[in-house]
Amino acid sequence: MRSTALRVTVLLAATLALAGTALAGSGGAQQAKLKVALVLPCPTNDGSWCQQGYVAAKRLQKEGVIDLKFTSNAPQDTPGASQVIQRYVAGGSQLVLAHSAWQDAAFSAAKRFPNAPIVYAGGGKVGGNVSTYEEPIYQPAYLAGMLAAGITKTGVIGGLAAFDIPLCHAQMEAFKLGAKRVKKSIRQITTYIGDWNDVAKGKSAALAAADQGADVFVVCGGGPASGLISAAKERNLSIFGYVGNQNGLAPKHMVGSLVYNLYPVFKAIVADVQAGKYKGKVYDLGLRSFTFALNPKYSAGKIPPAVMKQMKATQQAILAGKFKVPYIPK
Amino acid sequence: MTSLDVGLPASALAWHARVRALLVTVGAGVVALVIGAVFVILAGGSPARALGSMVDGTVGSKFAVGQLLTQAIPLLVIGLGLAFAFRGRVYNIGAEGQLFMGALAGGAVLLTLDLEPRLLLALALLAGTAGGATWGSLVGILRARWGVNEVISSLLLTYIALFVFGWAIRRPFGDPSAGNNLASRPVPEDTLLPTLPGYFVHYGLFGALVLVPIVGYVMARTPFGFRVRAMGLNPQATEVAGVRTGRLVVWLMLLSGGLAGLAGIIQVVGIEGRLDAGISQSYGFTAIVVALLGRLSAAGVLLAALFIAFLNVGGQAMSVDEGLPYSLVVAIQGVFVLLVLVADRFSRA
Amino acid sequence: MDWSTIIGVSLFASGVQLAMPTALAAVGETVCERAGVLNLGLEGMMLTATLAAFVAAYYTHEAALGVLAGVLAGVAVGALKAFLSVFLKTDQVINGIVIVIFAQGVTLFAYERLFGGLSTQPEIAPLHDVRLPGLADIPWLGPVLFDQDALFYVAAVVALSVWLLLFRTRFGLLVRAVGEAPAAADSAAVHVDRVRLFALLVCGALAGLGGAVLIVGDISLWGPNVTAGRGWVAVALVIFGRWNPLLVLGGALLFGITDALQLRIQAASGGTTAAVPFEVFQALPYVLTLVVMVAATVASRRSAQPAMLGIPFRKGVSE
Repeated sequence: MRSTALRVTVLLAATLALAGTALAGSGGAQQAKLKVALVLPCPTNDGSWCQQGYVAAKRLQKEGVIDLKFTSNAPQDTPGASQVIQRYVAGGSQLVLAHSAWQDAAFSAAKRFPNAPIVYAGGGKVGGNVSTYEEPIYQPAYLAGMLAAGITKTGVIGGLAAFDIPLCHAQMEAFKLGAKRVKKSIRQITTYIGDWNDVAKGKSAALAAADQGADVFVVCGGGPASGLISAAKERNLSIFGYVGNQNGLAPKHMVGSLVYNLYPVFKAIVADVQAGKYKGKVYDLGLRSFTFALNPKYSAGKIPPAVMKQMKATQQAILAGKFKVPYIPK
Repeated sequence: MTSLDVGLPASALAWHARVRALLVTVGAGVVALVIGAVFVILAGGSPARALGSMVDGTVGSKFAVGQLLTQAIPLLVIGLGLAFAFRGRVYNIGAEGQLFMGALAGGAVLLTLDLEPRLLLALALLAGTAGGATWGSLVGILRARWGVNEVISSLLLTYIALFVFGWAIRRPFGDPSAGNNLASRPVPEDTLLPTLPGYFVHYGLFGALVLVPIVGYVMARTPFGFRVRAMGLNPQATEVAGVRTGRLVVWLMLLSGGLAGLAGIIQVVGIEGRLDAGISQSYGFTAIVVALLGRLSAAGVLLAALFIAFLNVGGQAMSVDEGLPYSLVVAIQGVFVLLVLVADRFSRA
Repeated sequence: MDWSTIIGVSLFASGVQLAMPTALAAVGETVCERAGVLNLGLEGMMLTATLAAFVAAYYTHEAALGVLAGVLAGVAVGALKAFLSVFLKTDQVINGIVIVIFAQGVTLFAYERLFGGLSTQPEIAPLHDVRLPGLADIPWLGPVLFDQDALFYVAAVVALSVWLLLFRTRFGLLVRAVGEAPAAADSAAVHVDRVRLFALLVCGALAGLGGAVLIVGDISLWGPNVTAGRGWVAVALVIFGRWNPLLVLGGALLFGITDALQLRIQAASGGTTAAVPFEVFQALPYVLTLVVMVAATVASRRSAQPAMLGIPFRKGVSE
């Protein structure tokens, strides 16, 4: 009995070892894994900004492309964030993805490590080995606006944003333009909350706009998004999810989500570093990185088939490069 | 409003009291390490390596020391002013707002005037100090004139300052090319403070260090410092003795607000090179802890600022090396500070 | 601008909802400050309670248990504050600020640990509105007063009870005595430290309830720093309300309704395209609170602050 067990174990171990060698062999044929560090300003499970970054990097890790290290809830001030980045570089990371608007921190770290690839989020200046990736949320927002025009019964749509930064501003404007393209008479109510985290205030702002007739909403900011979801359920509003695929959080009310898919972005950056062609530049994959994910379970209002068709045609036109969504950052 | 234990001078302590103080301090250190270790283990890290990272990240190299000093500078500058104000029992808890108003005033000078760089820098530092002092003086005047509680007014003014700052970097000074980093245009390159080679710490360090003996001297050796202490111990008696305490309150708010404003503009010309929210991570609030941990003395504030910076910078290193969430590091820092507080209390009981 | 859409029933309803968590915490803070303990850790108490309430409601699917957990968590932080302030007599300003920092770290860490494996953001079922039939149908007043979350009624009752507790009971007398003249209270055989401990536990319970109301009664999910500074505002409101729970409640309502109002004016005026920057609107509640407080202080000559606020009591040591 014992010896059988032993034999089985040995056999299993041998098989595993063989399989392991085979796998390692196939891996070895590829390039060595790139040591990547991911710095996140929030928890990995915020259902939004940080989660999208985390999931994308994890996927690259699973595919065996990178060796991942990460820090969540990192400090937000420039000296603090910069030190975290520098510590990763000093510890052997070959690429640092600083997943926040850490432009100052990235450049401050680059002063000491001019050769290290450091990438921050949010667009803006690049130089040396410091790159950035854009957040083209305005592109899916335009498509969302088109649907909103078809859905609204009041002719009033709403926009909620944490701050008036280019990301949010361009998103709000594109939403309005998309809606106006379908129906000229649409009016939009835009409210700025002044806080990325304040869920209750976001909800209150949504209710305030709803009182003034708005019945379809787009949102910018994690806290406000959560507040909007809660408000939508209370007032039967139609809404669009922010950054993460939030369709499941309010299946009846989410028309769709503006999903930030960072996988192709990170993949492109990693590929550039591995190929030795990396230099400071702006990564912008447009609608391929900020995608529009429709919610099949949506039922709060009806989307007229003609509007849906028009939206899909526009989506194709954007992807094909035949149509450019106007970018109005301020 | 709070307990101000200035404490007995060390020489007055008998030897057994000193031994006791030492034992309590060591005991608190051990407890802090044990609690920290439990946290690290809970998060799946190795306590020994984490501790090693903390030490290595703060004193392990020239660069590490530079990081430590860089993060201690604002805490030290603000903490000195707060220590002075607290001695007079003027509870300015709005240093965060004064910091941002200082940065804004100094930044406005840098972004609008066209002068010789050194003159411009000097003017900006002055304007920064004046900006913080003005914002602080509002609190002082409200209390001196009408007895408005300074805790609430300084706190509310902090929120208001943040909105003003947010508007300024978005509208008049906003930089469209900053992308989603809400920030002002960069200040002139030639007004930035130089950095110490190898250490990567800007020259604001020397300014901050020079302030230590100056503030210490004014607090302990001048008639002004004496009146402030008298007011802190017994405001009524001080008033009776002919000191205009209202004026003293305004002076203390000008001083603590001014130093907070100076810290703000130093962050701008020392690190950021422009105005944005990254110039502070609640330094104005942390400096309250620094002032009180430093027992309201200039040298104490210096030590306390270094200690808090050690926890911050060491924590950042630990978080990177051990892959621990930074939130955990923040929690451990809280435990450390509380235990220092307890040890401090018991070593003097 | 159409003012009828700005100032209406729902303005007050949503103002009340925004105000409630802050109001409860501020009323709690009134109790401990009356007893002579300055609790700057209020934001930390609330934040800890929000997570406890969320976790309990999430796992048990019972909103009521969420509320209970929030209150208990608040009490626990209150006990910690009492341990540090009343028994160890450490500096109350520092230990308060550190409690906030500590709570911010611990809640983030715990949330990430507990829910890290989920692919979507976890949420709890919202508490159902309680409608008092008949009363809720009264025009205007009905929806404001009688068509709210169940917790709204709890909050109103709580503020009134705390007022009664402070000014109409023996315990209230003791609380005020240890805040005004602990040495005298001590010589009258009052256990000063024990009264202060109880006051802090009450304060923790109410701050915890405030945190729980925010989660269970309003937003149904949790996020980093979800209290967003409400605890700090609550500390300010205690001074604003001159240490009287009813005035404090009034101050919280004023703040909440102004906040709701500014969001509405902003919406009606068209956001960034408007001539007035939106920061002006956002600052409105803070400016108004400051102005009213200055006016109130100027109008009244006498200070209402408990004489021994923030000063630990040591037997035989005169302060």
